[in-house]
Amino acid sequence: MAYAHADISEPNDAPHMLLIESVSKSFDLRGQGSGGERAVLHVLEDVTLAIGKGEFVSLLGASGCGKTTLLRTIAGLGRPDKGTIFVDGEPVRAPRKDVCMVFQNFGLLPWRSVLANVVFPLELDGVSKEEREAVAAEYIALVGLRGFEGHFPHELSGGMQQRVGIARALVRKPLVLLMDEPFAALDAQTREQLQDDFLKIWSKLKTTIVFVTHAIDEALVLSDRIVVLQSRPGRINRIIQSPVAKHRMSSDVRALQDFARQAQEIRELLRPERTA
Amino acid sequence: MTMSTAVPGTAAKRPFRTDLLAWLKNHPNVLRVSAVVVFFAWWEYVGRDANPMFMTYPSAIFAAAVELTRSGELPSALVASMIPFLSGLVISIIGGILIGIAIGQFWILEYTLDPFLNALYAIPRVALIPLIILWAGLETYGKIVIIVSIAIFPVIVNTYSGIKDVRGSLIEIGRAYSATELQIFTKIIMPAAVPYIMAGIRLAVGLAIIGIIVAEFFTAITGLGGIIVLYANNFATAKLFVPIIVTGVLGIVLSELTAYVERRLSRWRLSERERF
Repeated sequence: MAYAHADISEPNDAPHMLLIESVSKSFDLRGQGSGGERAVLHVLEDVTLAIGKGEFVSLLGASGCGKTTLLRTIAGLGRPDKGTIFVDGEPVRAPRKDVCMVFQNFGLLPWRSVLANVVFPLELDGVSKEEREAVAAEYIALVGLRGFEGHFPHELSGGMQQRVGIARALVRKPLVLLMDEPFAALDAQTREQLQDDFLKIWSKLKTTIVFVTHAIDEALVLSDRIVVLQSRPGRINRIIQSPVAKHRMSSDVRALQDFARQAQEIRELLRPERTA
Repeated sequence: MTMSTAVPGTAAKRPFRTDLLAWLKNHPNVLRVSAVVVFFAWWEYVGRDANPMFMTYPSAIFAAAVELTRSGELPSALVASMIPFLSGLVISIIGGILIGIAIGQFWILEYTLDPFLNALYAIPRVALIPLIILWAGLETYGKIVIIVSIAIFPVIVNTYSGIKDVRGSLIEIGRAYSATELQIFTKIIMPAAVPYIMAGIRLAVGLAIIGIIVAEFFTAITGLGGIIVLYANNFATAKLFVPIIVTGVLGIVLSELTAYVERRLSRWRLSERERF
């Protein structure tokens, strides 16, 4: 079956696309300690995680647990203090062209049309105009925006803007797709629609995905594995194999009993952090 | 669309006066044109009784304009003004953008040029005109220097703040997609700064018109400013009004033109602002 790897209890059997090896990162909070003493915030402490090729992994945690920092570090936008991140066997030192990002606030260039936004990465790569526009058209169609090529971001709804963001991230045919709470800014209905549509896109492309979210149901609907992070210092609390992953393409897993049970379990895991 | 179906009969029941006011509100040019026509009629009526040494009236101005055009005096004054005006404006725009980029991008230049730019900006440029004339002469060259000394500042300041105000999140999109520094500059920073730069250019156009007239007041030999001074000294009030009106028309045409270009190039930004 197509999603067989999701059922493997030992995901390390699959070849690693992404390896996070004992990564730590802290920020100085200057001036926040009394008497000018240095306060250090340990955002990530000794995080180790292996993600297989074609796997869909969610990083789930309350705000401030370092999930976005971890994603940015994978993207090469920040260096870890300790540890190394490997993508396809190579250590990450700077942003890579085959690791693409979908941003929380869509991150579109407002003066560019849909088409011009989607071609942007290929334009940076120096791909010829005809070729990049042909590739872009393909992905614009894939995300369901055919006919909107000439529209500008401000003329689109939030959901459509994020479709543009997804198409732009896919045009380079990345090895790893990083998604930073991509649906958090959308209303509930649009969010579910995009989750379902994105699953269909992913099932066609099988890109390795690291998906940051604070929504338990979103992580359960989408991912093979859910990495539950805890905060201060940010580290992995538990890694959960989604019990509903094998059904997600055929039915609405939100209605399954396993879904509710698992969601409740994760909620319990996250609870002590909320009161802290 | 479907909401716009008016309830029949409501329009007929409304009093005529309300209808007229609503119509006038929706057709602002009706009141604008009427006001101007009434003003000129009044001026023509009152002006004919006034002492022609101090006051004139529209038909006399028109006759003077015809005379000045036939004699070639007005066309040659216009050319004498337009050459330094356009050269000064172009130099202000190009130079202002280049200086603005330089101080916006390189902190060494920013810190070293800062005191000089602030000092020049603080001194009323009119105070410098005698000095400029001393150095650059009374003819075209001197006029250009005077115009640039006045019109370049809004372009510098707006280009600089446009570059500085580019949201970090926009630049981060470039970084995440591994754009080079040059690509970030040309594909993100400059397009994001265009609305600011255009606003600076619009201000520069207005200031350059003031600049050319002020310059010609001081040099008082050629150009529109020159004939204003000449006929003011001769108490030829009707002729005095001709270059004033020409300058006004020039100002309106040029600022409308710039505002049009500005609106076209900044459309994304204006509508982006409306959303929030």
